[in-house]
Amino acid sequence: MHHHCQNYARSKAGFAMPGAGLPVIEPGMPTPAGTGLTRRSLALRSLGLGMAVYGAGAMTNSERVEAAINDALAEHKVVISIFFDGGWDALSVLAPFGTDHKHEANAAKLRPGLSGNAAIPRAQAKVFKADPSLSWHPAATALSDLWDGTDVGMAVAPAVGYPNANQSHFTSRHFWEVGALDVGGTTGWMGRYLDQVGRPDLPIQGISMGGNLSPMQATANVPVSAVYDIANYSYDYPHSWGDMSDAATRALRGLGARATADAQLATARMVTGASFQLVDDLTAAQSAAAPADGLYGSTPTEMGARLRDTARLLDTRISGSSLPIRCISMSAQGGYDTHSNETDSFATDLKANCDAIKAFWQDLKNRGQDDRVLMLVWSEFGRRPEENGSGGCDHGAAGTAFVIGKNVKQGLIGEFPGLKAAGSTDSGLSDDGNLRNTSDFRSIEAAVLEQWLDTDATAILPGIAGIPRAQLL
Amino acid sequence: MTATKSKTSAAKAKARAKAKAKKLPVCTAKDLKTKKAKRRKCRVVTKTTKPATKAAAVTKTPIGTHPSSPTGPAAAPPATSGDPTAWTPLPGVADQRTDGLRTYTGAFGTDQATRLLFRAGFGPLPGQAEAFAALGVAAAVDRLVNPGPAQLVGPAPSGDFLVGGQFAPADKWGHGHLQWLDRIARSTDQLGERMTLVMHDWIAMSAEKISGDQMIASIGKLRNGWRGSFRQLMQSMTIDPGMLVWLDGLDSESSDPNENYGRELMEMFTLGADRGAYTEDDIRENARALTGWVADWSEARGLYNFRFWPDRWDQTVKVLFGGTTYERRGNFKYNDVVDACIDHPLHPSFVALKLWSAFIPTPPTQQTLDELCALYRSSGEQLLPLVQAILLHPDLYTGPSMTKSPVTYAGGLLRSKRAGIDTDAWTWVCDMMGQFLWYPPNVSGWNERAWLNTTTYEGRWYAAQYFVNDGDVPTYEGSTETPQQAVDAALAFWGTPVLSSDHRAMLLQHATDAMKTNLWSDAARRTLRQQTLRMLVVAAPDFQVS
Repeated sequence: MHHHCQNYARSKAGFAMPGAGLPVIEPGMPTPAGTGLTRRSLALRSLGLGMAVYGAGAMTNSERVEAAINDALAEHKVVISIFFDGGWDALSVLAPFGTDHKHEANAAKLRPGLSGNAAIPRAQAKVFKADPSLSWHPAATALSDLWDGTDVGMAVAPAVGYPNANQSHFTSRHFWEVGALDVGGTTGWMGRYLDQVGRPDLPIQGISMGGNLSPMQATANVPVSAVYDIANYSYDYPHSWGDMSDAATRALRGLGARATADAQLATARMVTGASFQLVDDLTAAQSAAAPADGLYGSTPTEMGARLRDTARLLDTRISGSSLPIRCISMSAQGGYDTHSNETDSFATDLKANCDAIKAFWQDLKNRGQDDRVLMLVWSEFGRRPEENGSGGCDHGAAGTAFVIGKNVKQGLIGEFPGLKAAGSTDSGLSDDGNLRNTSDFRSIEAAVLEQWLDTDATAILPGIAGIPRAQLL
Repeated sequence: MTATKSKTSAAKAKARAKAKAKKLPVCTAKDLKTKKAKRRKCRVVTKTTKPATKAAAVTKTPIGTHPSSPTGPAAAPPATSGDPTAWTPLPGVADQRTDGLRTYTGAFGTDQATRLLFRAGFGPLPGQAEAFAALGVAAAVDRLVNPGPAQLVGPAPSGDFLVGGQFAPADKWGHGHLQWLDRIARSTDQLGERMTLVMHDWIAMSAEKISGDQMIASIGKLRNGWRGSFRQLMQSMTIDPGMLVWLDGLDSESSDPNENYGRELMEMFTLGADRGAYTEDDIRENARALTGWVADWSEARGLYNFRFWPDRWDQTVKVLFGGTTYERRGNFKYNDVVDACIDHPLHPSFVALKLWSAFIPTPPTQQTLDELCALYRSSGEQLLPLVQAILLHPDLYTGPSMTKSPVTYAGGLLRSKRAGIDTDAWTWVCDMMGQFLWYPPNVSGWNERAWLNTTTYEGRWYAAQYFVNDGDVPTYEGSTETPQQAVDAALAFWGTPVLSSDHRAMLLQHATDAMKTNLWSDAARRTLRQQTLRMLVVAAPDFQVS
């Protein structure tokens, strides 16, 4: 490839191109007979397998069909990604003060406003028990509660990043999403996992909550879905109904299943098919129990509603089987690119998300679903330790990430490096005044794949071989 | 769009209204006397009533003069107006040449004309693909490039949501989007609206953060400016009030420069990331040069009197692109760094690829790219010759399909029906499809490589439903309508668009199968067949691309 091609629409090249190269399902293939099929036909139809599995060329014998059915009906381990978009001010999530005062003189110099009492009221900030030189922002008290409680474990990376931090939102985010320091990557690390273990006929296996497809789930071969609202998802034909509408939908899905070498047309056809497949899944999700009254507050926030819907999807049963969900991605509510007036929005947005995360884990516990979920909370970078003149701070390097789950081993992933300027042996800042990283995001993604999803990370994360793994479980 | 989605609509509208109501606080006079480190919750730097002595002196400095600019003063930006009828006459470019670039010489039928009209505009009006096909490719492109004075043709907007029968983009949430969609549907300058949208995606600004008045002015500059020099446009946008607010130039002063605009000027607007065009040091130098812009604020007017105040500008030497053959060193100001970025050897290829990718989904060959770059420089950094060359290029006509953006899809439906904007539901429907004008998701604009997913497809379904819901419901007592006649009638409902052969085959198959469905009469079958066929014309996957 010519050099210029690698630059072609760079910042967007890595975004989701779901289903490019999707295995083709021939329309009109006959439904195979089989003893196992009749029994489960309702579940199959509802799972969107139906014609798709039957028609797939590989599924020529009943054993393989049965294997496909079992896979589709299995309850999988799930990984959930929550992305704080814009590069959150990690030093305001876990603030550099506490019962150990070692960072406070530097913090007072670097960020008198952002670490000051007006921005982060110290009386309400709980000290971080794993490192008492840090305190939780009062808006993140819900995370502190999760840390203190016994329901889940939490691994905290207080300075996560990668060598030679790229301070572009889009490049740094892209690195996290593709699981490598590769500007040209076109599939996400979850997407490659789904390509490996997922199926060509189950868009519900990967869900982006909120309506935008997460690039982390960009696949090469299998469909994924974007869900804005689990209610009201339907495809109605004005002034038509019943048999005629069903026939029209069959026609659309037939065209959706046709092979083409035209890449964007192939995507359009795949998405059309996936959209109709998703209807039954989301319809079923509405029969999943509602959460306990007030669990997400009297009026759920945007994030509360998103996680409430997520919990219902995880608790959805069709003929007694779970939906075959494997990966879920979403953006946290709010924007975190706080170049100016950070205090206007930061605490409010952070609180909405942290409260929702805490409620979600309670919801999962109530539903008995908490032992099959692992949550990764991250942002593309942490902001500059030194504040600017606008009441905000500019793009930085290392930030904070959390891994939360019932089975997660509580503790630190790397230490907080401190705020001493470059030059001394124990400096926490690099020459450009940004926080040094003490852990690598790839070590966390690899650990999620290996320790949680029982998958060989080297097959999914290029360049992971020399990077030590975080110990999550 | 009837009640089917009203709950979602209301919720979305409420969320958007709430977002709009969330105004950033501004500095009071007291704040401004407070040491900067201690004031936190405001962003305006001067007071309205009694300007400080220095501020008063500065107000005499004319905006837009660039005494230190090596290329001389940038011209004042074109006058802009929120009035949709205030159109600027368009310059002719017939004499501009595209030497060295290949032009398409193959068959130019309705297929190719339809693709051109969807790529360079928002789809054909009924019969327009045939008319353009008759022109041949050169004349068809010329008509897009030289549309004559733009006019709005077709039904005027109507509905309760209007204010005195007009859009109120400065004041009413969503009206900026609706007014633009109206232009998209009705303007005779389709390329002008397309390019304004390309620029809105490129120099992306959002009404999430800036006012309606600022958005009107900023988009107006893009609409009027894209036909001129890109250098001049970037000079103008760099000190555009909306931009100064959007990327925090307004807050930036010498003691603590804000890096936001300095970074995006290079990464998003002129050079691109990960190409080795600049370093983090360059961003910091950029940020220092870009300091010095202030404005006044009053309760009645909001922010006004944006101006350069030298005392807040970092008056020291900056080094850009240090260590390269094109290193620049000097006491740079905002206009100088814009020039430095435009003069950068990797700038032409950034522009050429940006424009190419707006029209063609596959990359150009190195030779074509080199030729486009040469054309850009030889034309004095004009975009229009590049656009013209790209629209004439064989790759546009012979290459693979490109997904219609959501507003291209919506605009295409409106145009195919010669319909006007008669509902404000086009706000939430386009939002659901993934493209709400004035609200790009961030400074990188929309991700045009991922328009389609299971949620945005639902949005497209709602858009299609709107017209089918509103259409007549034909009756067929005693009818002998054949499947082909049924398909033709459904196509006529949408202005008889050009479809793929797979798509036509699917329609005919459904029209045939439909007569075997379980309904009480053939007449009922034919009615419901027609209703479903109408949806299948525009909701089919093949219609989402051009």
